[in-house]
Amino acid sequence: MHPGTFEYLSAESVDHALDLLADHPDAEMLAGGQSLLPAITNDEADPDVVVDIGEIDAIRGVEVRNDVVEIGAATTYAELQDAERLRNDAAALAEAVSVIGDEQVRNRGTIGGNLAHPVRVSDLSAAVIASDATIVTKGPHSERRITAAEFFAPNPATDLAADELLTSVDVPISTVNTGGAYVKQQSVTMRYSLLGVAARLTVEGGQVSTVRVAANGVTERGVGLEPVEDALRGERLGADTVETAASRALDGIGTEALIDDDQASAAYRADLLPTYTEQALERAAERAGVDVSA
Amino acid sequence: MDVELTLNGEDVTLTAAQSDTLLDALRGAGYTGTKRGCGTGDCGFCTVAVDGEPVKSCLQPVARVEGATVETIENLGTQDELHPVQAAFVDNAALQCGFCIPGMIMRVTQLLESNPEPDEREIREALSGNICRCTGYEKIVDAVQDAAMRLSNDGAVVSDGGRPVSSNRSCVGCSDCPGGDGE
Amino acid sequence: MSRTEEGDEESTPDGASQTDAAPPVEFEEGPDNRRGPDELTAVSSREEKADARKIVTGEAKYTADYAREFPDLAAGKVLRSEIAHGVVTELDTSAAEEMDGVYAVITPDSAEVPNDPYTSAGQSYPEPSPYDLRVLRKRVRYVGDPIAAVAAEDVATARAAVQAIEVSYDERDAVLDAEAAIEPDAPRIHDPESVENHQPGADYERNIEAHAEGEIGDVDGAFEAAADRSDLTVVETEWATPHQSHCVGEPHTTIARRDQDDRYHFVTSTQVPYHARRQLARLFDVPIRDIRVTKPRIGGGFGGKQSIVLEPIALALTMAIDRPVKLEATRKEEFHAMRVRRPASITVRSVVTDEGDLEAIDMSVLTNSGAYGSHGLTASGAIGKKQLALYTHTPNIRLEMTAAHTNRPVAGAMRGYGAPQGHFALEGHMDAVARELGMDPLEFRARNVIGEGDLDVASSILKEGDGEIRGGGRRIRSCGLDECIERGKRAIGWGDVEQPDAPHLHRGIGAALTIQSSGVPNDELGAAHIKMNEDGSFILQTGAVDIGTGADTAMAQIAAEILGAPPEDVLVQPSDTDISPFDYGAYASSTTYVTGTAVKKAAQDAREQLFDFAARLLGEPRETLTARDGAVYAERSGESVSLKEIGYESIYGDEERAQVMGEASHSTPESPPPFGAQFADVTVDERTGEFEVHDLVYAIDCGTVINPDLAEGQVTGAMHMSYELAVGSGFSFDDDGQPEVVGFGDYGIPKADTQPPLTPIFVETHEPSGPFGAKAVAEIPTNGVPPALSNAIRDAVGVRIDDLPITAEKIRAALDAE
Repeated sequence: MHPGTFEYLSAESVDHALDLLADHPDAEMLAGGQSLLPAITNDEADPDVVVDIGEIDAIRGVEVRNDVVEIGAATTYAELQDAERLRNDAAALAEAVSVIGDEQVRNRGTIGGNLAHPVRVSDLSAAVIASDATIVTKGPHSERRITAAEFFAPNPATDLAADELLTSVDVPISTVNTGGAYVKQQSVTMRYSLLGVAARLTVEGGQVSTVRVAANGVTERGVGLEPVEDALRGERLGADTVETAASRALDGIGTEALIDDDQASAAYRADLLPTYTEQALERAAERAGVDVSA
Repeated sequence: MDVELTLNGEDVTLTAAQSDTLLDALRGAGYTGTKRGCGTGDCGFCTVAVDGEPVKSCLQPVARVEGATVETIENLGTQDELHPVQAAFVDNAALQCGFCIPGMIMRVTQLLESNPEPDEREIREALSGNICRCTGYEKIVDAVQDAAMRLSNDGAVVSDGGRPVSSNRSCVGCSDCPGGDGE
Repeated sequence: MSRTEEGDEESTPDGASQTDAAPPVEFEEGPDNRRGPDELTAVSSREEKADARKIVTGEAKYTADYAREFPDLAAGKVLRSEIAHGVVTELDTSAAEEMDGVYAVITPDSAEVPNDPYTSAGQSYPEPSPYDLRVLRKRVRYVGDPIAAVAAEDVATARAAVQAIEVSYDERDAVLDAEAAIEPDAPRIHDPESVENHQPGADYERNIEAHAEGEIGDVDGAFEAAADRSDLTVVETEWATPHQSHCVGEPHTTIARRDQDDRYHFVTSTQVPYHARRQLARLFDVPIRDIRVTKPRIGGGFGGKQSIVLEPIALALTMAIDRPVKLEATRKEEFHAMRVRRPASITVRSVVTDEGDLEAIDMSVLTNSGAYGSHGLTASGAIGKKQLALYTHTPNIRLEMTAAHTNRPVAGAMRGYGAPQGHFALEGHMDAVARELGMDPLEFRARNVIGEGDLDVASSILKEGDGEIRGGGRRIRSCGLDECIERGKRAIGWGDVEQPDAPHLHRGIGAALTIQSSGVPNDELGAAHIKMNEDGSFILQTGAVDIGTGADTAMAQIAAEILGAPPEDVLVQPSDTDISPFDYGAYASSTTYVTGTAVKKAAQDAREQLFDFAARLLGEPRETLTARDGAVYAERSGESVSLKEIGYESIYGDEERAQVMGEASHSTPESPPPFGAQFADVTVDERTGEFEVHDLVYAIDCGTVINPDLAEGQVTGAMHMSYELAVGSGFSFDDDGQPEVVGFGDYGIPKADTQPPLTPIFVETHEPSGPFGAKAVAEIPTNGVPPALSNAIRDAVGVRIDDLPITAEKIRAALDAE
């Protein structure tokens, strides 16, 4: 074998993958290949060993168990798009998935690869937080269940340990009168996300009972917008309450944490966040059966 | 390593390095209609069908296609007997340098299988993974609409790439019409 | 005196240095040139592109597809500088050389690597661009500068070997912006002792690659007068444009080998086979005759392949290992180490009367050449002179340009060649002047713009001396600009904009006039050879380099029109320096206009020979013969003899046997401008600055349209590129000069779903000096979208974006600043 090429090992099960990972601690995981292979092309990665986890049936597919949709980490975006329960009951996540890449990418890219791979502005990071998802990982000794918010907390890294495998993303199913949405500003020519906001809310007796709002493209990873949630919880949904809540989107996010890059300045991202938060809330409310358009 | 697969309807064995992509293996075996434009999955020139789905072959580890069914541009028509999608690209002048075209056509054939009557927005969305630097996409969109009509209107399909002599299709900016400069 | 000026003199019949009289309006048109629409058969028809079927079947062969023809082909890879500025202090290739499958590693010290400087600019001889580039170098000046190269049994091995080369650098301060580079204390990038630069104004103490200026009238006087008079208004604007990448579909690829005749043969993706041959021969001290350049199908050029970048490295590698070598650029190398459009900072000042008459235009241009000089003088000069021609009636015009070296990627030729930068500035400025005067922007233009019959002296402004214009200026013998404006206005709905209901949305329309040239006047040569087969078909050989445009098809149509043959009976051979007649190459919008005329003349030559046979076979005088519908007809008798019969007669006939073979060359001092008017329709969201472009309409006068399908494709494709320059996310660098774009994934190329609709409109005129009345079409539509869109945004929300790309953030910031 020449250096610069890699040894390809196909994992047949999660345990097999963990064994391979134990044997080759520097190995890279390949699920859909849509992140790792471009990185190799661009000299950003040069693994000696690649462990293919994309064909492990146990972590592939969408299943509904009790009140939770369990999404295998190696499930492709295309498979997620086809999953009806997701579309109906986890609209924010479904909407975020539908705007990723293009058809060819969605046929191969996986949800686990997206979350585990350190991409700065991941559409899914906000969506999984707003969906109250639980990230399930498996290591050599134990399984861990991490809330999405905690998963992204070690910003800009993730909470995934080097010897762990991301196995599943569990999303609680919405009940009636729940709506979710994901909206984003994208670059004019490539649809690259500059900033996105995901929201999910439940309305009971005319009042907001539960609400989760999160944004990507604001800080290095997806971030929950708790002040917006606090401003809405228990309130009656209307144009005023939505606008007031959205105006608090930046509270609690330090200016120094804002992304400032060649795509958009920190100031502009801060400028956009309330507007997009308002749009996400309006759309989520509409899907929960409440018209809040001004 | 040897990889056995069904390629363009035939059982073949591709010899490849473990780290090769499907694109590497195809081009190495002489299937050079599939083009390499970036190696990062962004240009779409290397689009082929794997088990009926359009895939960028530069991001497809060749080891993963063991046992799969793969189709490349070489599996469509010949210059004398063009596939209707190919004929539509020729007749609508939907090509210039041509480097993106095999991948584009592979994407379009799959689109029209899953959605035989796409509207313009659906066509543009479907082609969003296939860059073209020459055409501005106008004539390519025309060609896809024309191809959809050719495929749905068997009677009017001409296999030699010529234009349907008579059909009830409405003008989609094809080059038959004197007013074609309005497109 | 620069090499350019020498070149001008040599190729100008009357001697360019004398002051010439203005060219007359009248032009003696060649025979057959003026045919009515009803008479034209091959020209003006939507002929199928000659290579269309092999393209859609995947059988068209580009350079990389030839690899399998050379079983012992080695793969090459280049080690490129990781720093923007410095010196390689240590280069240890031992580990790479010891690797299995590595054939050779070459460095600047290798015997096969020439040490003399050359220019990568594929220009005519003598090249205006400086010789400042070494094939491999230790003194590195940008991220991507080639240091060493490897040939190995396959790409993976070559790549691994490149990674195994150990490099140490002595890093120097980098300078990235042209403004900073010309400051006295800026890091110096070149040592004048090791560079051969004949461009005017070169000053390596200040990193200036070239500087030139020219003036018509008295510009300072006009501004002084304006200061004293209330009926004169002064308007000053500043503009900036970024890098742009060609984003050629097919990456630069070259195969070099020594053939059985001990000559060097290239199969290479080039726009300039003959310039490449000549420059390689000089650089490697090999006779021109011992180099052959074959151009296969090319996957797009747009000026990017007018550079000779990979070929010298491939040749050095093949000399080192005596095997064929293939070098194929990665997409990252395409962005970093091939060529880019040069960024420009432009200031425009003007004096205008209350009635809207331009009294003076003063334009100052500073461009960023990047690390090496290619096209610095000519492309930077084009930023002013090309589009100043639109306003040549302005009595006082001044243009001053400076091209500066920085530690950025090397600027080269790119579709539009300076004109896109210049149009953004000048057409944005004209809009600003009209707003200042409260005039309709297009009515203001109409008062000042050039028209048919006029003399353009502004485009010659850099040839000025002692108040006179060398060559006497350019006579405009065809101009459809008025109709372009009228038809464009109708199509876009000028003056008839319906505002959206939502109070935060605002719709606006903007326009920009455009101009280009048709080839480089006095500096082109196209040649053609056409021979008849015995079945009545023809083989046409030209040096015209079809890089995907459809030039081969257009050439066949021109020949077929003269020969009376169906266009599909004219087979066009791809350019090959061993076989094809000479051609300067595919650049400067010259192919249809210059080489097309050579083809027409060669076909006329062949037709004379057809008539010799036909006159004898029909027993009719040759003056009465016409060639049409695949035969030669006698007017009087109505009798005819088919081309097939003539073909057999010419080769197997009983009487006189002589193959029908026509040939011609064409070189011309003329370069008639095509014209066009670009329109943009946009809605802006004032809350976020986001905008949506509803339509981009471009009405163009390119003379006679040889093939409407191909011409439409040229227009929409160029508008796409123009739109990307206007709004694409561009090409950014960190403070150390590291490019932040590594591939298509982070470069803002519009895709099918993000490209707004493109509407081309053709306004046909007849250019008497062009083949069947044709002018150029390929470059001019690259010019208009940035100014038209910026003007449309100004129309919609009152703010003007003067630095590209136009972004929502900039619009929002401008609205905030109001």
